[in-house]
Amino acid sequence: MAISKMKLINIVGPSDDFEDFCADYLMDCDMHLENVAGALESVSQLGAYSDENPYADILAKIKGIYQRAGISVPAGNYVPKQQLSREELEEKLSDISVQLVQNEHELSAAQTAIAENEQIIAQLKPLLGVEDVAVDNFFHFDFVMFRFGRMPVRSLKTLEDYLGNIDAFFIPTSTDGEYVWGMYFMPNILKKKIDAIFASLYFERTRISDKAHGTPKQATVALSQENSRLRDYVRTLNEEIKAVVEKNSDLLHLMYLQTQLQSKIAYIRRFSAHTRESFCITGWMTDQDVSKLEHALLNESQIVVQVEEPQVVGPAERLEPPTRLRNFPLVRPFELFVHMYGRPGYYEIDPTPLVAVTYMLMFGIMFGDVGQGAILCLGGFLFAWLKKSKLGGIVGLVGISSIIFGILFGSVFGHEDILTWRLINPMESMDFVLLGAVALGMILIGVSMVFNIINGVLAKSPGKIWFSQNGVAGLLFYWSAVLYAVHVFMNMGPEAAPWLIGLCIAAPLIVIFLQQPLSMLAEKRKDWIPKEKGMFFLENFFEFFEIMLSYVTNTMSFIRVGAFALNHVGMMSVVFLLSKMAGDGAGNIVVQIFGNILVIGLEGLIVGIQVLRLEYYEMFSRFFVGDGKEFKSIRGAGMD
Amino acid sequence: MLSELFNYSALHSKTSAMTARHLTEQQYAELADKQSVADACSYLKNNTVYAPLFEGINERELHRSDIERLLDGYMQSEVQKLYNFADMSTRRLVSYTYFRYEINLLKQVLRGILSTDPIKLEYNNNNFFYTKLAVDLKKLSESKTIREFLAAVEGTPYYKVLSPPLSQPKTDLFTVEMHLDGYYFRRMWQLKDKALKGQDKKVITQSFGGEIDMLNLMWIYRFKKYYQLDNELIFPSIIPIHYKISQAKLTEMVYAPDLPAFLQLAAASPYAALFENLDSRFIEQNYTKLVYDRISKMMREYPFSIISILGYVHFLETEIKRIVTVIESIRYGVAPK
Repeated sequence: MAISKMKLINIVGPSDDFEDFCADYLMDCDMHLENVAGALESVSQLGAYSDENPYADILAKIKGIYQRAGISVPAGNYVPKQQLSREELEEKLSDISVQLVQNEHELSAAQTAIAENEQIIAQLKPLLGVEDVAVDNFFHFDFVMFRFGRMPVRSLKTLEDYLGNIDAFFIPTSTDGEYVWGMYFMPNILKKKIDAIFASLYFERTRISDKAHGTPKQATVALSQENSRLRDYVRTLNEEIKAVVEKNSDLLHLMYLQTQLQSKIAYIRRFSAHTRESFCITGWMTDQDVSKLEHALLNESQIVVQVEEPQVVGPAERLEPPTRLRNFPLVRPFELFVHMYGRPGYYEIDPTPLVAVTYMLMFGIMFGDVGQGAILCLGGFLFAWLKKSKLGGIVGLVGISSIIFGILFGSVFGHEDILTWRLINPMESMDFVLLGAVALGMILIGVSMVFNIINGVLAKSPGKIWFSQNGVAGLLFYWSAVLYAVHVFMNMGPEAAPWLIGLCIAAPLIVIFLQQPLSMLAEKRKDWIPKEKGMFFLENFFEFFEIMLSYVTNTMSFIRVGAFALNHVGMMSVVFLLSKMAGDGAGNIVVQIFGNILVIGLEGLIVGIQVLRLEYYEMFSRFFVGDGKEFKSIRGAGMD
Repeated sequence: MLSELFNYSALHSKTSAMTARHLTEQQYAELADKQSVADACSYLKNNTVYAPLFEGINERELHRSDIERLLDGYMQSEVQKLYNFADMSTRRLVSYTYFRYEINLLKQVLRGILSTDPIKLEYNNNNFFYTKLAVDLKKLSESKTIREFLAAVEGTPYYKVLSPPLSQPKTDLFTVEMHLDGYYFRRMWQLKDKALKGQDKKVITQSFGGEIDMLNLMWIYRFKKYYQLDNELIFPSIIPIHYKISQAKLTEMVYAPDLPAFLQLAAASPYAALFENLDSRFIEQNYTKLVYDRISKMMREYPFSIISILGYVHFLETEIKRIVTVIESIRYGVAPK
């Protein structure tokens, strides 16, 4: 079975050893923690720890240093024991910060200077045409003054909307989203007033005269040179910062690992409880992990471990074990689709392998093409490999299926003439394809019912096993009806005696109709006879009608599998038609390539969704509840 | 009309029911007659809708600021009820409540910093508004200087609004507050255009539009009264939205040569009431009263519209403010009026 068996493990030890114990044994442990204080409400002396992580700020600072140096945070294992006290950690961290602070200060100053110079260059641009006047002279006109600088974008709007008639004009040169850079001109005699207005618009002056000398062109060249010098300087500073971090890399790494360890201990503490002398940790683990941990703890005389079966604690303490799926790697990507619907409960069968097989099968039939399948396969696996994406894995796998069915259908990029051997040509045997699809659907619906019966056994629910429309009664009725229909309409299969037909079809129907009281009777409940019989029959009649209808519609729904197999051929023939219209040359090839891309993208998507729909509606709804909770291991938790 | 009736009949009856439970003038008078803060609390606990707030709390030990906090929490939970009750577009507009709350918090903190008496923000992270705010309250309440304040709002939209005025050598509180109000109304104006339509849009335009016009008029008034500076300097703090006073009219008012000339122009505007009896009242008092009157009038005119929410929230805020004032006057021994 693909759901791991869990055991509840209780660990009790002396309070003072809590941190050491966590650090020594639990860091890489695959354990799903349960909230002890919540689970053991009845024990009165038990208190929860506070849930703050005292090391969160230090961890953030260390991460910040790594980030500023442009170094990725190193991966690594946990140090077994705490080696620095919190005070030492803070002290050492501030030592490193002090070394960095000067560099950072200069860095930001240099970057500001670069930005400012760039703005001055932008502002000199309109003046570049003036060849023979030095920039300094602009500041000594007799009647006109002008100022360079920037102001917030909103201020420009205010200026335009309300202050159109003041005796000055503003020429914007550039904007960086938040600020507009530019210059304003004004008569010398109104200097005071206009300056006050612009100041109220938060105009910040840049003193060009300090930085730009000579003609505008000369000034521009000089400023550009200064900027490239400053950029070199920034590079050096960045390298120095990196060097400081690298010089301290061992220490930093140690501190990083240690604070991470502490953060993880804080995570465990959140779930744990303590009395005055002892701590208590409770969690779920698999059999193998439990015995591994027990083995490791043999020499710890002070630690007491108690292991319980979920069947025992479940009802008593209302503790549901978490679900941990364990699937074959090729099947694992399909867990994505299962999780989109729900997480299997602990006492439920994991539908992932079924989804994997049926999804690939149906996708292949609906989208059978060697060439296009190969593209999906390559693209999907590439995506899965680069992005670690489950969806990529699914696309890759269905690509393989598509290739296989492409060979059976003899189709390569829609060309039916490249492969000479084929099992079947969908277009020529339409009836077979459509009926085959319905037959496939009947089998899958039957399988779903079998899954439901298994789930009923696991959940110990007699109603689910025997009386439900998806239980034994449903299965018997459905397949009897199918076989009878096959016999009547297609003259196939064995002849059955009328009484046998009547028994196999009518008896299950009665059971399904009465499933509610029958289930209650099987659970030995006293109130199994419905109180209001009229209402009961009326309600159940409509429900029953819907159940019957859904048998038919769900079966017919599978026609789409065959229909899309035909559709694919049809769409490709349209592509060929268009490419023929485009003539013989390059146009032909372009249309074919473009058409193929369109078909892969559009039809691939639609087929993918349609198959998912079949999985969810026609199959999952018959057996899958999906109310499990996720297994959250200590190993991957508490990292932030 | 009919669809609005359907949409808002439930909301209207809900807010009406909520309003009906509140204090009568009689009760205000009785509350004001109490001799001590503790007695006032007992009164609130035993006779009013606020009883559940004081459950399990010994009202003898309550400080005045504790009461304020309890009432504030009550207001937030009431808004949350309406929020949960409302549909999506109304919900978006109800965001004005916590948005304005945030702006008021910023103003409070700023006033504290500028008066060199930083206030201590007391907040409960579980209260409805606090789950919605953009600013980091912890950082904000810890900021003692303008620089720290700016660092606390960095990364929020307020940084862009506040950083230019707060970077000036001399910070003028009125100007900064006007900028915050301007930002608030610009954003709400956009939001109501996007989220609402039909009668709701009309009602909200009327409500917000009036407030914007009045704020602009008050700004011009204050500027002309207290600052002896060029008229042009008024514009940067004007909220650039015009409802009943056109841009041209407003410009004319700004350029009015002196205060009497401005008042003459203002008296001819739809907001003449704002400038009545200014020798015996503050303009802010007039403003508060006018906003209240306008909302009451709209609630009568459009009972089945979004104004039922705005009205209820406004009503609640006013009531809480009144109770706090009454308790303050008991605390400091000022005769009630």
